[in-house]
Amino acid sequence: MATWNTLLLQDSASPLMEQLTFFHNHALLILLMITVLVGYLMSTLFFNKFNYRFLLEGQTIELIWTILPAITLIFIALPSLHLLYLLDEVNNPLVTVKAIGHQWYWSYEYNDFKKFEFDSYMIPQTNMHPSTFRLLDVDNRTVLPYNSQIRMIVSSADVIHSWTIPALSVKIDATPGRLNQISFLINRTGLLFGQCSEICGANHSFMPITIESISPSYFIKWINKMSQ
Amino acid sequence: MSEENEPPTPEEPENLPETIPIDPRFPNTNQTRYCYVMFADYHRCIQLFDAEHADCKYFQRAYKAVCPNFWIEKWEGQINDGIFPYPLPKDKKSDTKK
Repeated sequence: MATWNTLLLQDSASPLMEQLTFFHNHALLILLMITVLVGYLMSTLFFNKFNYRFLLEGQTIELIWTILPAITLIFIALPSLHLLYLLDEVNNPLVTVKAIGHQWYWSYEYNDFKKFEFDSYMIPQTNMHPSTFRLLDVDNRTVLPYNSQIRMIVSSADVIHSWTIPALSVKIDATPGRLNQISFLINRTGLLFGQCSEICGANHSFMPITIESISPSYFIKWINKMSQ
Repeated sequence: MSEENEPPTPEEPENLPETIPIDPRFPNTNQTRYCYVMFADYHRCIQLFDAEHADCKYFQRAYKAVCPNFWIEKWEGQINDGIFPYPLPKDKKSDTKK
């Protein structure tokens, strides 16, 4: 359902997304202050009757409005760069999962344990239960352990897709003939949703991604059940 | 992350099988070559030693963790047909003579 909350970022489910949310709010706050300041200046300049024919330069105010934006930019750039490099940090993963994009479903391969793979199709509206999330739920959810470093290997079997989980700050293209790697950590249990983010054909909107984040012990039970 | 250091709950298993660690030769997002090199190294390894060798097992775990299954099937078919585009030693005996 569309609520006002859908205009904002999703609740974060990983430490990196938490930091990205903080940075987003920080940058928007600076943006708001600049907008208010400039809006106020413009409106006062429009709606007054002061004029001064010989105004050509003002060294002091020019110096101020050159240096102040530079300082403001530093306050945006430094945390931004910090986060950029933090996102690229690689840690030793606990689980490697492969996501292969197809027209129009995702298939997942878990080979660290016993080898098994499954396809993950969206549940069509005709087969929905009262608990199903419309256009977001899938028949076989991607089960992952929480509080564990996870390596996703993303590729495609036909056209370009994009594997996306906004709550984890993950968006990575699935390119045929190429393996893309992304590492993330989920810090809570629950369902995380995402959708294919690269126009991939007629049913592009109907190949969602559903992650079921569960405790590592239940993850092992699930693995054992699946690989039988 | 929680601030307080809680002791791990007793249901948390300690023996979660770990996947292969990060290979410093392939630190990038693009892991295509890592998969290919691991697959080729495994097949060179089993011809130089044998399939039960511990080092070969590592290569096997690596390529199975990283390569998509349909790539593995395709390449194994190529090896069987002798058209795999990577030099593999012909057999164990001819290589150990050198």
